[in-house]
Amino acid sequence: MNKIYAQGTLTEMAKALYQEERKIKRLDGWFLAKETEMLNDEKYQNCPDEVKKAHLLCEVLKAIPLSLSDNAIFVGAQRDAFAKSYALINPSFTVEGFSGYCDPMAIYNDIEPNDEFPESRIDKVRAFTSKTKMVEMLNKTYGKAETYTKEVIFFVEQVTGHVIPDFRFALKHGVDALIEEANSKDGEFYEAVAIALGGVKILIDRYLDLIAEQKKTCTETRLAQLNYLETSLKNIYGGGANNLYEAIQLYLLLWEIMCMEQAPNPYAFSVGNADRIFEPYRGDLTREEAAELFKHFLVFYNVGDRSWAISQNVLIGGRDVDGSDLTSTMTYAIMDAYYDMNLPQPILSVKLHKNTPAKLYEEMGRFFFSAGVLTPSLFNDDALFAVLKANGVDEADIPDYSVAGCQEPLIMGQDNANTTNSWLNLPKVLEMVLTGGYSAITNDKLMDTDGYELSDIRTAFYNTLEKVVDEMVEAANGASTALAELKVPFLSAFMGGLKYGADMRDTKKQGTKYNGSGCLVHGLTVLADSFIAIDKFVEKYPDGKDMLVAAIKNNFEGFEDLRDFLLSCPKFGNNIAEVDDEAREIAIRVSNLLRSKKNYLGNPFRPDFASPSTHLTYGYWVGATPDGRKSRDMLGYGVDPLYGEAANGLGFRMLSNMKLPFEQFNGGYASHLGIDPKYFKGATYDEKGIEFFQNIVRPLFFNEMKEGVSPFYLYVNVTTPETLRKVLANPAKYAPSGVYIMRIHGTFVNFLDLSPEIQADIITRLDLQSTTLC
Amino acid sequence: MKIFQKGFNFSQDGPGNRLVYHVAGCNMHCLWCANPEGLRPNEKHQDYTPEQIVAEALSCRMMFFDGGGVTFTGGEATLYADDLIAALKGLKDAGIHTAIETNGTSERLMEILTYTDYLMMDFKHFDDAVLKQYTGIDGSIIRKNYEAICKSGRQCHIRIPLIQEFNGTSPEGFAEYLSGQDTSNVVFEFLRYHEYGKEKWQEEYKITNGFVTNETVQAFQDAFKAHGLNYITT
Repeated sequence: MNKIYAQGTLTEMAKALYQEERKIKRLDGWFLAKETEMLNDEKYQNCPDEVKKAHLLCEVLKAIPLSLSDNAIFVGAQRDAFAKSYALINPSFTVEGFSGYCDPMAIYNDIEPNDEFPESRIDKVRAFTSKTKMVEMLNKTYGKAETYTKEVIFFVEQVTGHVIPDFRFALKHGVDALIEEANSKDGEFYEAVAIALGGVKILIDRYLDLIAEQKKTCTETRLAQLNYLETSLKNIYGGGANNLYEAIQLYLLLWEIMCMEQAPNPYAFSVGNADRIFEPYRGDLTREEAAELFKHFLVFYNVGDRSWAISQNVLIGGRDVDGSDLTSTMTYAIMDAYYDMNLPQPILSVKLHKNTPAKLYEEMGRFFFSAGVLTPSLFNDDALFAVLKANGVDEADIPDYSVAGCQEPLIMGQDNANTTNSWLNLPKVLEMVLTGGYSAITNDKLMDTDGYELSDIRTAFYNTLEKVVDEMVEAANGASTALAELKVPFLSAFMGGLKYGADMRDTKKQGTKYNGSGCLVHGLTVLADSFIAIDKFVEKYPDGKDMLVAAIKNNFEGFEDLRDFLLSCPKFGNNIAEVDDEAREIAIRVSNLLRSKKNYLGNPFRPDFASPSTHLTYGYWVGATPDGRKSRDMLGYGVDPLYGEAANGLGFRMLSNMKLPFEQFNGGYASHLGIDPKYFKGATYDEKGIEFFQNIVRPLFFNEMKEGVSPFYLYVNVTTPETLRKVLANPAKYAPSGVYIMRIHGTFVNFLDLSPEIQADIITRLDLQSTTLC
Repeated sequence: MKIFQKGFNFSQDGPGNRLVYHVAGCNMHCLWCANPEGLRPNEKHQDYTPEQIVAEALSCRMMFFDGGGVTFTGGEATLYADDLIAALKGLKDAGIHTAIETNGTSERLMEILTYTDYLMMDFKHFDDAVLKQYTGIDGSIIRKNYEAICKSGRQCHIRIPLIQEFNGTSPEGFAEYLSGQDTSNVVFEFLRYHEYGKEKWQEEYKITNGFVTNETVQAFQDAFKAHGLNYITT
């Protein structure tokens, strides 16, 4: 390697490659994939479903256009698997744009017709897709649940992506070893897996042809690089990786095919514990050399002009079962690569535990305290190990937990958790109770509810919640069953399929060791604040039920004094036992209710108290609430206090937070702190990293005085509203590269790429009043 | 007591993780004050009884790790000696570690210290005239308290803000005076001038030559070392 690439060359090439990617405005590859499937559908119509899917995948791999930039040191791209449909980083995102269902056909509006892709060509594929069984089943599911979903009492979706494949066996032993195993077993599923895995050879052959072509006309320097690439591709053709270069190359090819199999929506696959995956291949490469290679790995994850393939998570650090630390040279090499490249994707997450070396905190300092630089999200292994163990994960598997998407903990290669399958809006359920099932926004009748007494609001709420959850579970399982029509034999090979003999999405036979379905629970703190406010209201106005309902229906217009009273009631986030305990109680009851419900395989739903920007979109459909929140305002983010309500600083907010029942959150949860950098006075990034540990991480994650399971997830933005406003007003000055990275729930975003509403949300939720230190 | 700010911090205001109360009102008027909003109590500041402070601290116990507890700072907490003593006593009775940060001007300081586990005291200048010019206060009571503390043998953490135009050229004078007592349980810390509070000043900010060089800090460290004084950095 050193002979081929002069020192620093790899970094220059990685940066140039990223700039090339940013110039790509159109993402049409997914459409070509769908069109190729349509064109070849008849050819394989007599094959069993799995086998047909495997053949179609190979046809797609034969058909997609391949390219190789002079700045690329690896072959492979994932851009052909993605459509630009993910709202968050779409500059046209609007809070009111929520449509109540996840329309599998909407994707066809993504592609802008041009000479190559005229309307007629798009329409043909759209018409074909609309007649597929999956779309028909999904439409039926959404149709049935419509009154619940149109104003988001709940929401359901079919979950693509969102797992962590385990490529380690393939890296070590080669893809042929997997094919051999599949061929040694009987059945359509194994046949499909073998065919799908054969896609690796198809792709390598095509890239080898491309390399041979480029070798004819390239420079001497490039020739040496292409020869090295060619040799490496031939080495991994059927066998495993011999060094870090080959390991990364094979990993990227597997990733590309895995994503193509799920085009156009393979979001939120996770790399897993990257330092552990790649350290065995580092050999005698130094930290600096490994970092340079990893920079190209990172560029691969950036798709098109806005790095569209978001929520792909890379994890580092963490511990083993016995508590020993698992950081390595590769951990720091990966950090170096991230810091120097500062790309909008993929996401970096750091696993921490009580024996995490101080060095890791020191080295994180530069991420947290450099303006516009990405910040890792933080996981507490000690707590998560306990949560996962309590929820049936074998101890030996736990160190392999990783994060699919933003914060959902899943076991790499063994867990299909359908993480974003269902979404529950607690304050909207309260609205249904209070109004007798009528929307406080549109006055439409949305559901039937029973009568209630304000003084017994909790009983009425939980009774209604049961009904809502039953409907939600049915719809969620409907969506998962529809999705099962789209088989994923390639991915299944890396999810335990060869052991369990079934497709990962199979609804009859479990194809992974662990399986579940997720439910993202919204509005915990608004509900807790509302219950307490109702208690206070009843004390003051024992017969005031009609007044409260009228105030809510009228968005407090004409009820300003009442709103002031409701706002003055205790709020979560200030270490006030009454309301903090209420939030805890709600979280326990809701979690237990969800876990008692079964998914399509009979496995429990997993409560996940996260709201990936949906605190905005769902809040938009919730009328005024008894805590004094006005109609259509946002809900609290994840388990966080509603912005503006925690006014006593970080310690008090942490104390409230730590009363929550984290042992219940086996689906995950979200929490964010906006931190003012002025409190960190260390002279160096290293010193500030240690201060960050002392003031933030340690009290929250590793507080020896905390009883029970500690918090296990946090992301932060270390900045001020003033700074962000300056960046928006003058990006040329404050973000000359065009990239200014912020975090929004679990993912990085280029702040400059976002819609104004999401930018405003990031600024609002910094809520620095709630995180003051002294 | 009126509190103009409260919150947590690790090791900056005493050992471990601490709940810090900034008590409004101060008898000094330091020209570099970083918390000018606390110089005078006003109606926006929250009123606390000693009982309320004890109750709040009890609900925060989980945060007092690493030997942490409650710190009273200012403004100048010792201005409200009765309330402060009641709060400190209540906290100690509840087993909570107590600390105060003071400018050392209270006639009742030794009484207050009976209930204080950890003392941080400013010693801004040994020269009364200069001290009065920059803070409005004569230093005799501070020296008296310093001498009494040293004599008592109790723990004491002396903080010396280094401000170039105010005291930056006098390392010898400080070292000479401070080493005149038994300092076996006293540690000294130099706080470099900063301007974190500058923007909060309503009136004109009068320090024009505040920042000290590394050489100045070194000169203080050398002088203190030469006089057998134990300085620390936090």
